[in-house]
Amino acid sequence: MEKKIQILIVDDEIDFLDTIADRMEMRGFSVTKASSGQEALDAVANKKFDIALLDLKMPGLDGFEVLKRLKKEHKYIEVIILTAHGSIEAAFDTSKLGAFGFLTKPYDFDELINVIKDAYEHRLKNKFANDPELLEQLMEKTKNLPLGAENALDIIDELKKLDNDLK
Amino acid sequence: MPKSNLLLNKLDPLRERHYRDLRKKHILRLSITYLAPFLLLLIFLNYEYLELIDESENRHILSIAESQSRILDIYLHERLVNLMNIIDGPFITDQPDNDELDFFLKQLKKDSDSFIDLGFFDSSGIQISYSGPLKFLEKKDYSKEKWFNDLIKSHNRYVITDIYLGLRKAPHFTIAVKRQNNSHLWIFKSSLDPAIIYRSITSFEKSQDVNIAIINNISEYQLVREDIGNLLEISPFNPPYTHSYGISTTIHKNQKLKYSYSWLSNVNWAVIVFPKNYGSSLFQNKKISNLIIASILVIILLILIIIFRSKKVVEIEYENDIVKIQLEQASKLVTIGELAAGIAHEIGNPLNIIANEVGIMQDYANPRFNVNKKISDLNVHFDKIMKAVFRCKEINKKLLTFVRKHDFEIKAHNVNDIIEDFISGFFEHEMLLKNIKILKNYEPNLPDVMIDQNQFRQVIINLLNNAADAIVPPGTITVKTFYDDKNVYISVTDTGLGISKEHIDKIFLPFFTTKPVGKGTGLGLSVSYSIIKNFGGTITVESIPGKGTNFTIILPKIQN
Ligand SMILES: Nc1ncnc2c1ncn2[C@@H]1O[C@H](COP(=O)(O)OP(=O)(O)OP(=O)(O)O)[C@@H](O)[C@H]1O
Ligand SMILES: [Mg+2]
Repeated sequence: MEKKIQILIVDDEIDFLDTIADRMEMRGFSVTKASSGQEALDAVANKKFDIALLDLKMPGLDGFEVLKRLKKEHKYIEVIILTAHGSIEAAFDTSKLGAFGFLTKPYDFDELINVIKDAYEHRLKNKFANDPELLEQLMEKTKNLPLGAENALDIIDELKKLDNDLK
Repeated sequence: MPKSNLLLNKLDPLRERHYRDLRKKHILRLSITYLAPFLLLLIFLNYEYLELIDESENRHILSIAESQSRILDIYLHERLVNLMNIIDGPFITDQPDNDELDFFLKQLKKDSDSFIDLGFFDSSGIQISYSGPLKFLEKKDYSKEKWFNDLIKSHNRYVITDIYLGLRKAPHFTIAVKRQNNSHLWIFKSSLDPAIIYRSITSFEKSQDVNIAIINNISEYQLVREDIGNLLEISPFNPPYTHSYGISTTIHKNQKLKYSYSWLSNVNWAVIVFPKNYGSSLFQNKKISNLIIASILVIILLILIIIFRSKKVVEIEYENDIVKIQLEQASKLVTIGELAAGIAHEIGNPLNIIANEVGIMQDYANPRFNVNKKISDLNVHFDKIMKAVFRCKEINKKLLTFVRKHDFEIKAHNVNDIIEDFISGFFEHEMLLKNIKILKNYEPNLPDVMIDQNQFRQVIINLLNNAADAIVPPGTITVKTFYDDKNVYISVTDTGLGISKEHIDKIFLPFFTTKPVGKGTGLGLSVSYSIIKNFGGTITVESIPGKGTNFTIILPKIQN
């Protein structure tokens, strides 16, 4: 069976967590929920994730702290910040800490999928970075993929296939 | 406000409780570090000292027993020699008659007035002649008497009996001697008064802290003071025959009693010596009490040091532990911009939930995902949407308390009444169910202050709810009102978790909360502060993390 993309969602809003997890699963992702920074770090210690969706304002370990630790211990994870605290400084600070994307709540779901697509592509490029030949092939193929948020899900499928083929 | 702070410090139950706890902790700690080693040393020294005392006491009573037994031996030996001198002397006839015996007794009395009488016996055991007070003893048959048979059989030339009462009903003992010349046998017997022995012993007793008694070889008292025992009564002392002297113990009147003994060599008697105040020791009292006085002085000194030291240490630590803010400096009122950012953030989350819930229902409707949902399946999503909407409404409501309402009216009020109305209304009961006690301490003569009743009630509700939220039951909330010449104070103290140093200067910021999502908006204190500020007053906070928190509202008294 084809391997699913592993996504970790970190948010202290339980009502949000359940629904977004359902929606992601409907779209073929495998989702793990964490309702605090500590739960997120525990989850990462036990399982490999491709992408993490991270809230910034949480009691206890906040998003900044979790981001720092994720990037220090698990470089390969691509982190997308989802926050209601939409200041420019926050976006700037998190990208300096290695976050891939930054979305403010409330956000458009298709937009989120599109950022996930970009993050996944980025992740694949990183994965093959030390094999120039494979990287070359990947670049070649992704060049032909269509652009646009409305096709993001299809492109993610293509990328997954590429990942499998190249391996 | 140096004056009012002083007042607060004195009256605040939070500080009071913490100060007491710290004192207790420090005194305990210092006591362990200072007092415990000293006490251990004291116990050790005392033990060593007791050993020493014990030993010297043993030596003491043993030497008395030995010297007394030697004196008695010499005394008995002298009496024996007196009698021997008579029986072996040149004046003895074959059958001495009463007159002769009178003469001999006079001789003996010259040597010692212990001699009471003198009798002469032949080998049949009949007292042939007698000199002394009991004339009726003449011609009496003594052949069945133990002393007589002992003397006849013995290869010794003498017998000394135990002390007994006899016919005279007075304690006395007997020395009998014999002389064998070819077939002729003389036997002289004399009764002796043990008064001299008794005197020797009691005179010794007087000057010493010891009791002295004499027992025979079957433990019967031979000489004893009446308060210790009676003549011929069985004594508790059982000294071993194997040693001529030594230390032994016995049980006397249910107490362990240590005594020394020394056997006499002329007769089967032992001198027994034991401490007068047995139970405690001989010298102990005086010398130990010196030691005790010295130790008490040292302990008092140590306690003084401990109290003094703990006071200093506690004062430093006490001030360190208390987390507080002076609102005038630490917290300015937030700007419109900051408030707006806060609102945007707080509204953003519920809006996001709404968007997400609507989104999933759109997904259900999307043929691409091919899900079959009934309308009733959507209830969970409708609920979440409604919850999010009400969260926004709650924030809205609290924000509106920043804004003056139409029924806003500032006039003179007694805050006691407003507080009591709310507490006794339903709060107290609700807290009781949560196992939180409300202590009320209202100043009865509290002056009025200028406030809007509804807004002030809002502030009290906020502070009391915060206090209740901070408490892990069981706990106490203390509400107290008091005043000085300028201000009226309303203090709310809880026994909750307290506020950390990092949080204390943020708690008055709008939307700052440490409570879980949906539970706290973080507007309570900022609204409260702006209300009180509007009345011309202020709010102070002091907290000891782990112990509790005190919020005090300060409102200006109405000046006439
Ligand atoms: N008595 C208290 N003991 C401990 N912490 C307190 C106390 N009062 C307030 N706090 C802290 O200050 C924070 C802010 O309090 P505030 O009343 O402004 O908001 P809230 O209680 O969290 O939410 P809301 O009052 O809007 O429901 C609280 O989250 C809590 O961390
Ligand atoms: Mg509150």
